[in-house]
Amino acid sequence: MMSAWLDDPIRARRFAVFSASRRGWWSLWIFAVLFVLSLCAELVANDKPLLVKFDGQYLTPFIQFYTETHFGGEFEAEADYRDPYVAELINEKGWMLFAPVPFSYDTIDYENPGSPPTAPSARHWLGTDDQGRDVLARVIYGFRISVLFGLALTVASSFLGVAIGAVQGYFGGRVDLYGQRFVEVWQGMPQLYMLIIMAAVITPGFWTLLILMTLFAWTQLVGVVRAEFLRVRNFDYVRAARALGVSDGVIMWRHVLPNAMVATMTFMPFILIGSVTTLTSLDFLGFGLPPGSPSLGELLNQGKNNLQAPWLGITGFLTIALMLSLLVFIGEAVRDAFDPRKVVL
Amino acid sequence: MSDALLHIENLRVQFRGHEQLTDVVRGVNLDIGAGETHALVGESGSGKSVTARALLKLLPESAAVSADAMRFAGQSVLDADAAQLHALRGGGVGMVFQEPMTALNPLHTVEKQIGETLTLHQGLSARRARERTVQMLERVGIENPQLRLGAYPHELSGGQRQRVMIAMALANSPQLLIADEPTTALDVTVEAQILQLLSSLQRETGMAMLLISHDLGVVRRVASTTSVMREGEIVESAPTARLFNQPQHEYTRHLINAEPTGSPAPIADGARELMRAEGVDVNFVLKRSLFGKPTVSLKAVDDVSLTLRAGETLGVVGESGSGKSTLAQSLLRLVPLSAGVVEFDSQRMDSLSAKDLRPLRQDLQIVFQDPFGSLSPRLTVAQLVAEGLAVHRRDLDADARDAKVEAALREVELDPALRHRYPHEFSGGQRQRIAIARALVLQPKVVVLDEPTSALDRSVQAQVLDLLKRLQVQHKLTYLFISHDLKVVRSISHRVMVMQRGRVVEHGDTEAIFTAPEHPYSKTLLAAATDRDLHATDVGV
Repeated sequence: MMSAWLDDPIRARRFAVFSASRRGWWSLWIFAVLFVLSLCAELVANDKPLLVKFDGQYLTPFIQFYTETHFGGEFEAEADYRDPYVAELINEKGWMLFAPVPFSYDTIDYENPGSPPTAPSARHWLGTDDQGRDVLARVIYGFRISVLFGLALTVASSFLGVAIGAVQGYFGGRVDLYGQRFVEVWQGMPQLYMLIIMAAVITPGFWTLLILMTLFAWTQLVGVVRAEFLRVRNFDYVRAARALGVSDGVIMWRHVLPNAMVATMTFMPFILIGSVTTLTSLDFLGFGLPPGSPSLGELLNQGKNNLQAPWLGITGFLTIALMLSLLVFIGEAVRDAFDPRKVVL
Repeated sequence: MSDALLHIENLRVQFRGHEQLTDVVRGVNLDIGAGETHALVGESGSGKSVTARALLKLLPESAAVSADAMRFAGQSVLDADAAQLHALRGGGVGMVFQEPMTALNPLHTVEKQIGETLTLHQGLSARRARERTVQMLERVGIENPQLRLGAYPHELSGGQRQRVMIAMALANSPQLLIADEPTTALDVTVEAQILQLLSSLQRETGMAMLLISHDLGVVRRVASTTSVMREGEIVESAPTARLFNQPQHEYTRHLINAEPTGSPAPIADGARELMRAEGVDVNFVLKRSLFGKPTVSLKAVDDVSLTLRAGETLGVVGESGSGKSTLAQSLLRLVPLSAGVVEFDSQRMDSLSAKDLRPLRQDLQIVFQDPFGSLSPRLTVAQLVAEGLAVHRRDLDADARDAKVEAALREVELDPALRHRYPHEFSGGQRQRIAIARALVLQPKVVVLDEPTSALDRSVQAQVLDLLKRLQVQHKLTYLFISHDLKVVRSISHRVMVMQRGRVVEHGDTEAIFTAPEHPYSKTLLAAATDRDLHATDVGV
């Protein structure tokens, strides 16, 4: 599969340039490992056991719902496995296996000695926040939601931006003129304030926030894609295709878009970085994801409010710095790989 | 020959690509005496330009240059330090490039371009440099040099730009002028003027000239000694007259014989009229008023009428900017018509909508000049050739389509087994064959050939022309053949149309126009094109 993909000589050269950039290559691997780990966050940090042996049966409480009565308790609600009473019930007839971090992002640890926020300890490796929640668990879930949100926003805004830029550039003339003026007016709107105002009107959630931010982020790619289409539409091979009677849609897709994709691919990692940063800053200001969601911006805000607990601010800072640095390194390597001056055939 | 002005022994240049070394120049020996004109001839990729650039150490860092000796005026160039090189470039050796538009800095005025070399090398004051610049411009035949000092390159014509380039190269009275394809980008009439200018300047100053060209006509006219290069080696070197009259090497003979000759196959009597255009105008709007009304427009094609009979070739000749290509593209409705009627097979096609036009596209095909630009670099040959089939022959399944593609490639003498490769793996001539196959696969009736051979080497040109003639007879094709190269047009066209500034100035049978042109412009054009041959016989005798 990989070797077939690399059959294309341009692609093979680009891949070679990318992998030759050691910093980008290693950043990609580190980022990939971190991202895969965070995708399996439920297996890494969870307040429900991964596996329970009870009464000769194997149970998986982190996916399945079991009531406390199932284990011989009293309530018809979901079992609270961290409750010493429930733990004792289960341990009598079997055992429990917890995730490496036995807390989820919203688990409030009432058993923890001291008043939150508590400093890092053997029980909470990165300490707890001001509501007694495990910081490490929140970082893992926060990393995941940041990256996923960034990716979704990048894909959605790139898709819109490429489509609109393509139409403007390919048809030119009046379409382009009005399109460009609209883009300029749209870009002139103060994005952050618009989002804050909108957040006051509707309750922001993951999807509403994504749609709102896509509305403002799509303009980033229009310029480059439009320029590329304007340039390529007068190439002889596009003329030749028109002389063959090929329709505009097919010409745009087959002949022009591949040219514009180089610019798009070069921009994409940086759009991703921008998206992650925007989400973090909204969360920091309190206009982002709903309260209680694991978010790096919210962690930073807690760090600001609890200067006596430096582990909050330092953890937030280091996580964001690491994530953005990795993405920048990857982005630079991708940019070099698509640089025609470095990839000569 | 150690007293030669330029002495090169066993020059080798290698380019470091990724993972491999490519030999570009392999052991070239060259001696140029003072005042001599030495021509380096060869097809593209033979290493001519690289040899010249190696002299001035102008090659990129990826090039490894070595030589047993490389001396200019008794001084070794190989181990020259930065200061000596500086004195050499633009001082002892001047250089004229092929494309004056890109070789001149678009942001500098003529005065600045020429004055720069003067202040750099001779340390002249601004006022003295200006005087000298005016002198130089006068000498290269630029009218009103005082007024032209402030002009930017884009305000000059191609010929004027090349004259400015020459003035720049000559500003410091070099002993050697390297002219790298100095006339290739120019029209024939301008080419003749520039060649004349170069030889008269050479006579006046007594400098030597290294002329690099692929055009034997130019070489034959100007050079005293000619070296033929192939694949990085000089295969033959002799006084020009002897080289042309008694070529020793087989490759030299091949090059000389590659000049296009022959005439088109006669067409059947009473062939029906296939395409007709009347009063075609194409205007390009340059400026609009505030309310979108065109205020300034350019008439690229002005009231042109033509007919094409089935199976014939109509040649369209003219200099660049005369509207040849625009005319052809407007006939195919690739450029909108401003006025006029175009009929194909007695059907009006100027008023059809894009959708109604689509079925007609199958019958009307076009082959472009630049085989590197007209093939999408990201599609395989099979995909490229099959593209039209996907539009017009939806009845075919994948296998039938593939069979058609194979047949078309065989038709243009390409190995169908290569059809899964990408265009960049093919040579210029092969690419042009692919472009022809793409047009042919639809079995068109009319093919517009827009300078199909201009980007090719002479010997490849001859092969492509033969192919086109054979295909025309086999498939009863009708050609509209556009070219600035009169020899090529003569060898393939039944009738010829001469265009100047968007208008047809003369129109008639090929032989009639070539033997007895009537319009003064046709006469100049023909004179410029055949001038070289006249001179060549002078030299030859």
